[in-house]
Amino acid sequence: MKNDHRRCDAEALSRFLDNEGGAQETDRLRRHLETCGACRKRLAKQRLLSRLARKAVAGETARADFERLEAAVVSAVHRQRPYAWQHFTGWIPVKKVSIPLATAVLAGLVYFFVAVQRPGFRAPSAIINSFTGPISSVMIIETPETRQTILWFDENSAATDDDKAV
Amino acid sequence: MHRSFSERQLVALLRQGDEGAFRYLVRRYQKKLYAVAFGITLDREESFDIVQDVFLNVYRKIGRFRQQSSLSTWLHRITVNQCLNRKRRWKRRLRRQHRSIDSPELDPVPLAAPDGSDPETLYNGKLAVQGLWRALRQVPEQARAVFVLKEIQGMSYDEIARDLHIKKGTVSSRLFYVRRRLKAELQAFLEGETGHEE
Ligand SMILES: [Zn+2]
Repeated sequence: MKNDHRRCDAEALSRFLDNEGGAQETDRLRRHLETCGACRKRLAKQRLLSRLARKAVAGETARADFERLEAAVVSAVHRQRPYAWQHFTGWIPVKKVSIPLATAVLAGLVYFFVAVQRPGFRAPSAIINSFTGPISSVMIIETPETRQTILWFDENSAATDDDKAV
Repeated sequence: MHRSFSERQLVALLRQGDEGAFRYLVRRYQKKLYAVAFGITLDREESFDIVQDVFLNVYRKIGRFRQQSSLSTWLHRITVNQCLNRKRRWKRRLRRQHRSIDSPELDPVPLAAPDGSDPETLYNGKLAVQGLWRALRQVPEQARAVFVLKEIQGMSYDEIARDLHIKKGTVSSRLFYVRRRLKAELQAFLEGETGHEE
């Protein structure tokens, strides 16, 4: 019978210790413990073991060097986040500020290049001509001061020998 | 640096990458997480590395923390996972083998004894701790994790079952198994402490 409180049940006793047996099992064990000295002793030993485990782990924890741990963690975080960025984000802690600010800076840079730097800005002003042959391509580009010719070799035909070598 | 935060504030600051908040997090949880890691791995350096990795993970993934559980629960869950899933690097293995020649057991930490306790009790306590580590070493890590979450973390069977993805009945049987092993190993100590009833 499941409800037989005369039977010793060591696993149920382990649950009893943890208050996890449920009402029926707990009641059965209570009645059993009233009459069974062996189980009372088992329970006392289990309680002692729990105490020992907690103390032993606490002792281990007490001897660990947590200053070293903290330093290691913080320096690992710094390695992930470059120093300059850290100061930047420290200075502007909120995205509400940093995003519009970044946009403003970018707009300023664009204006600088477009309006101020324009005379010296050497962007190609025209592509005069281009040819593509079996081995290479040619492109002639004109900037305000110079005319440049750019040659591309067809790398596929050049690379085939390297591929074979490998 | 003696700031104090509510959990919500702390999470918000961590998401902004606030270093002060991060240090506060480390200081607040490192001991607890180390205790769990050590209970499972029984290795000081490894526990150290694991706790460090946990905090780095938190730093990287705080954006993904949905606050459905408490920060503490989340941290402990990451720690247990890290303990159970870690790949032992060859370096660590080498270190362990090296130590196993020098000193087969961890040199035990003396138990905090009340003032005036006699040296014999202290000696017995030391032996008991040694026996405890020895017995725990013989138990599979999964079972050790159950034991640690119960005894050190004080978690319920339901919580342990959920965190370790096992059945509640398995929690009960694994705990029973570990306790039986510990009892067998520490028989002499337990007999001495509990006395002879009946
Ligand atoms: Zn009994």
